[in-house]
Amino acid sequence: MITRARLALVGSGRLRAVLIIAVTALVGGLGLVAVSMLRLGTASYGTSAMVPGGAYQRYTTFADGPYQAPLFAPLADAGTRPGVIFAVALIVVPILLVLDQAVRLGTSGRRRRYAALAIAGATRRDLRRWGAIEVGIPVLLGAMLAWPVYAVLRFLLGTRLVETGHGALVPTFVGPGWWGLLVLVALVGYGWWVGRRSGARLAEPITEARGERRPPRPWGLVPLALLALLIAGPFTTGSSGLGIFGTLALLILGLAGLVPWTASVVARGVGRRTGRPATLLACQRLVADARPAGRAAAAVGAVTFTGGAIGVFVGDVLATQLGDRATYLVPAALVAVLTAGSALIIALTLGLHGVETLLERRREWTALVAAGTPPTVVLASLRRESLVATLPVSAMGGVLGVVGPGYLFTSTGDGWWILLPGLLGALLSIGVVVLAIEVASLLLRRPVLAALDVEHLRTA
Amino acid sequence: MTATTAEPLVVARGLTKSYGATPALREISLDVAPGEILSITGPSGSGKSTLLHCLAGLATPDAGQVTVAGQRLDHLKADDRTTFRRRTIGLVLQFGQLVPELTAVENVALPLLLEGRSRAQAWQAATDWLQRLKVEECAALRPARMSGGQAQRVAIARALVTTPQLILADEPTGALDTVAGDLALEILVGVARVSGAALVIVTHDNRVAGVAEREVVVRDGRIESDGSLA
Repeated sequence: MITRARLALVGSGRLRAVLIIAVTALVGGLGLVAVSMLRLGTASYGTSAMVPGGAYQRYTTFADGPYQAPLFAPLADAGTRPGVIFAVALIVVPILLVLDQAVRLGTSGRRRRYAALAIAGATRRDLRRWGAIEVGIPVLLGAMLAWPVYAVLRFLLGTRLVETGHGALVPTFVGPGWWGLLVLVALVGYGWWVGRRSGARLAEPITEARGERRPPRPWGLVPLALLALLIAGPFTTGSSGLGIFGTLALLILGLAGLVPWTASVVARGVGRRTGRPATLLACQRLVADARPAGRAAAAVGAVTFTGGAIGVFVGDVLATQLGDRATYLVPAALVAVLTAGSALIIALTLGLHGVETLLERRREWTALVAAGTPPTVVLASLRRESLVATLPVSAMGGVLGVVGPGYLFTSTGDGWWILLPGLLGALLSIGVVVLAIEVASLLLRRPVLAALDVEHLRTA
Repeated sequence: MTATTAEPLVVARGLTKSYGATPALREISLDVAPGEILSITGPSGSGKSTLLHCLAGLATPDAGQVTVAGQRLDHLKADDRTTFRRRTIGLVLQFGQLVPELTAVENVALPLLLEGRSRAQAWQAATDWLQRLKVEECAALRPARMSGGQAQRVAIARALVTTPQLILADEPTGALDTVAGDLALEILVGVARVSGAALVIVTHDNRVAGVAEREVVVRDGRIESDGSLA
């Protein structure tokens, strides 16, 4: 076992292993923060009081003792706390998806190594297991580092903020407890599964691996249909924390599950009609296999949903809160910033996917450039692939972000005009996604052009 | 239709190229006439593929210059050289040259789309070429679903769809069995003769070299012999 692990790790590439460890540690650390926030429970645990001299700081007094610690207002308020936790989840999900792309790094080299191992006598089962080991071990190391990452975040965004007279963004008086262990076990399990899946794909004979794959199915409709049933049927999601999280989880799962399918359907439609080389290349790459791009873009629906929902929420605040609007608008702005950050991470993940796909087929792409296709066309095709993968589900997420919360607020008395800021929020978040793709494209321009250098045609 | 009867289409002078400390070309000079069919042969590592890549503007020589159809390649910027190659040079490689995600017709139509032709025009021309090369049944297939011979004929169609003046082929039959290789070669030579394009084939296969009118033998980065086979 130790020999196999060493073999798998040595061959898997140091950069890839470091990236997997870093991503896992970050996701794990943020996951522990989210869990510690969840453990604050609901308002029944304590009461809040304003801190003199600080409009956005409150003391939360817990029922189990006289312990008092200042918390950031939206975190102290049980009503807005789910929103803060959702915002943390919003940043965690795209980073988690980076793990999926990090696992794919160096695929062409690993494919050659696996082929050599297969010739040396390794079975497909062995290769799948090695795939799991070479990802599972860095993920395990990353998960172990998640605690120190959490401790640093807790110090910087908790203890340090309290010491300087601010409310803590990360609770200092309650930790993740045994839930944290559960999060890290789930994370390691996810990493193991991703590695095994990657190993299985690489273990396929090259002809099968390069063959056509079945188009993705719209299985994301299942959670969305379940959600619609829960809302319209005799069941109610209610306003409890569990109900809100259940609703959001179904919604995000549904939107994420739809990305490969919508990308494939739209790419097929556009690819049949376009006369633009970059668009044709982008669409046909997605038609051939939309799953990796779909996985990279999975969280984009949640981003635009949040954009629309924040807009509606801001509309509601403007309509109903005449006094302390800042209490609600500041956290809304914070969530908006985190949303933009998520969009950038998603775009970079998509870009990483594009570059990795390019490197996997470097010989073919370099030959294409040698035959007279400008490298900028290939670069543009990567950007358009990201756009085709993200825009359909971005639009869907944005619409749901306006319609869902809009329905809730208008049915409780708000005017329909609160949908307008919602629409603006949705459009802005789609704009942020597009901008993030442009930024990612600029950042990845140099490695893409270097990979396509025709001087390397003979060695590609 | 030989080098001596027309203004050369390709003029290479003093080409020198090294990969690190290993010299690949040593002051090679070569002319290719319009419509000429020329083979470049030599043992592995002799520099024949490097020479072809220099003629195509894919590799930059350390010294010397290449002129194709009156255009000095080293005077062109990278993007302009790419465009020039698309319009003037058809490139056929040993393998791995079709975009795996595109169908045969899309692969062949791509250079025309890059030239600004409409989709309908590009598809029509691509389909015509696929018919001409007897691979029309592959039009809707991706390369992974084609045989090696079919893929090579599609690649030849892509190289020829812009009706280039110069066709450069690097071991075009190297990855094919004898039957498929003979067919690919026959097509390449036939198309070159009909269109009047010059054809330069790099090969270590004497059978392939035998279809040429002139054979240049390269050894240790130098031209060992250059003679007419007619």
